[in-house]
Amino acid sequence: MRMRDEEEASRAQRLSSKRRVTLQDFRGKTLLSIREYYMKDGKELPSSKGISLTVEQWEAFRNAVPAIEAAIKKLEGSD
Amino acid sequence: MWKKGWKRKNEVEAGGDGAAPSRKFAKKDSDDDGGDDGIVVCQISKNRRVSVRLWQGKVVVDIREFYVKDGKELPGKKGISLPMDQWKVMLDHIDEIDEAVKENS
Repeated sequence: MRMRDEEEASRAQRLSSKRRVTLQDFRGKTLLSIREYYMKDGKELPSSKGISLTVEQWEAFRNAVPAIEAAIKKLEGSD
Repeated sequence: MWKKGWKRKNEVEAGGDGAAPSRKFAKKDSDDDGGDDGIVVCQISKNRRVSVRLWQGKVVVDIREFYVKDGKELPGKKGISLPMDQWKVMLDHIDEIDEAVKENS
């Protein structure tokens, strides 16, 4: 599938058939976007369903991974 | 009983003497409104949180903006819920993503 931008292709990770994690430079700021895409005229375009994290938010998120995993285990095996 | 991590102000305690609280996140099937059965794991910014919740019977990792209205914290439109298969992909690539972020910023 063609990406809009060559740059994006090297900094995108597909999470599912419609969702991606991409790294973008927006007005000089690095943004990490976790978003759903849709098809239009043979192109994949970003939809409004998703969120773009700043570097700080990404770091806070990444540091929370162990706690996220623990919470998942709790909810999955809650009996 | 798991009460910690859920930072809401209007907690279930307010009504729960013996009545089945609708927000007991231990139960998997108390989820008809796709609502708030979950654990707030982390506040990643002033109004953005990561929580782990039950959505239609499945566990999801939700990264979302919240806003306050009438003293309540409500989930906003901006955000995404990752079911476990997507979460696992994310996890598998987390170091790569992290490096890419570092390289870029």
